Amino acid sequence: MSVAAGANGTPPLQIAELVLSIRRSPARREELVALLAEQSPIYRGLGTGDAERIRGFVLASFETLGLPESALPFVLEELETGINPYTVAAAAKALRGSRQVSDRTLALLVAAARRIESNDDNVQYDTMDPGDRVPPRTSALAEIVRTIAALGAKARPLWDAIDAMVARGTVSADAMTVIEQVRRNVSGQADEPCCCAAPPALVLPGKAAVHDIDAVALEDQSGATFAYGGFFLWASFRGDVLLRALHESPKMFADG
Amino acid sequence: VFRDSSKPADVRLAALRNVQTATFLGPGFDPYRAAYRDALRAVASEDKNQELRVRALEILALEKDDVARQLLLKGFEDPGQALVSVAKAVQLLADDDHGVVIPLAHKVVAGKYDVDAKEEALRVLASDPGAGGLFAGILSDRSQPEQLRSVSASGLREVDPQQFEQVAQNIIVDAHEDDEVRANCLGTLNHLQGYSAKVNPGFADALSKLDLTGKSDGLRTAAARYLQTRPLK
Repeated sequence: MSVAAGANGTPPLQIAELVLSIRRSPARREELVALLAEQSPIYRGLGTGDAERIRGFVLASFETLGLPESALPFVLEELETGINPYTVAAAAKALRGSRQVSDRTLALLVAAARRIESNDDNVQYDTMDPGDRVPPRTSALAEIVRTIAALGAKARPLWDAIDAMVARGTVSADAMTVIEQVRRNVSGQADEPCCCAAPPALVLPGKAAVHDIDAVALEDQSGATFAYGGFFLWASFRGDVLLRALHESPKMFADG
Repeated sequence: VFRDSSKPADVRLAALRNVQTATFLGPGFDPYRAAYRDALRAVASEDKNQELRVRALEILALEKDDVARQLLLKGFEDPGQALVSVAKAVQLLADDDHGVVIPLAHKVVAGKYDVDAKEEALRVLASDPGAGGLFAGILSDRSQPEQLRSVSASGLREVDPQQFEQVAQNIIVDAHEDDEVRANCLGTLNHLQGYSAKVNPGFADALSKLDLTGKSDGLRTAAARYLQTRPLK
């Protein structure tokens, strides 16, 4: 087992065994909900990574056990604020065990997908051991897409967000395969050509890629693009204007 | 290529360097991030080439990866499986989460590890509020290596500045103490803020009367600097 035993808590190996035994006994699923409370002694002395792994492993169990009402707040919390792909994807899997999913929850799924889009990771929930290379892994983003697909027609409006992600080109080949499969199932037209494809081969930056650094395109947080050279010219111009104004009207600046 | 153990090591290393460069592409690299991590995990866990395993492990550890943490902890449990030195393992684990590595750091300091490993462990313990006694004990113990005593001076200053001031002043005025440790204590004392912003007149007097003839330049410079910059309490 990967995770170190907490200072005074239960060794994670025992927690993994407990969760696996409950997975075989659905009547005991409420016991898992108790393990999700952050105050639970099982988290004592554990680091963030280990705690997240336990929570993810527990949450993913609800896919097959069924999601009890008492566990829903933990699922929503993870979808709303989680940043660890393993735990967020587990929360999405847990939703597949829910009988009803509200519109708010659907929106949270999309928000969660966007949050982990740039930090996707391959995950598996058959065992809690992160180093176990035997169980097949899948992308965390793909797990969220599978949940959206499992929600059927109700989730159809969410596909715009998924399409936007595909258009941005940030989706892994694994997630893309799932998206394409789901599209085919939804449309029922397996042979229909799809606009989506696996991402192109990675083009590494080469030495000869840029000849003139001033021509390098920059993009700011609002999406505006400008040339590297032009940006510094403008910044310098603004600095000059500010300095001149300060020199000419010092009182104006002193008075605020 | 990096993952392919049939390729020559230098080719694989070059491939890793290129992909590492590509990680700076930001969103452009996002579709490959999961596969990249998987490759690093596979190589760090089971590759035949030790150098590549270490490189992959270090990259993963800096990303606070669970598999990296698992491999580093395994190295503690079974030194035969350790990919990196204990000192390096402590350093990498500290990058992940100080809370987790603190009990381990205590074990390293108390165990039969080399001085480098203990030094790294003491650095980690500077974030443990309960380590004051340990730092004070090592700092005061002349049988401890100078390296460990000096790191303990910084650690004690962090977790218990008042106790540090007391222990450090005793060491500084003790003519039989190690020059290096005295100079380090003076330097660390000089950086104290708040509680010791002003110098204790008794200590300043004792320090100014110390005969530092024949002592190291570092100690004499540290003493002069300390007395010059401190107003009296």
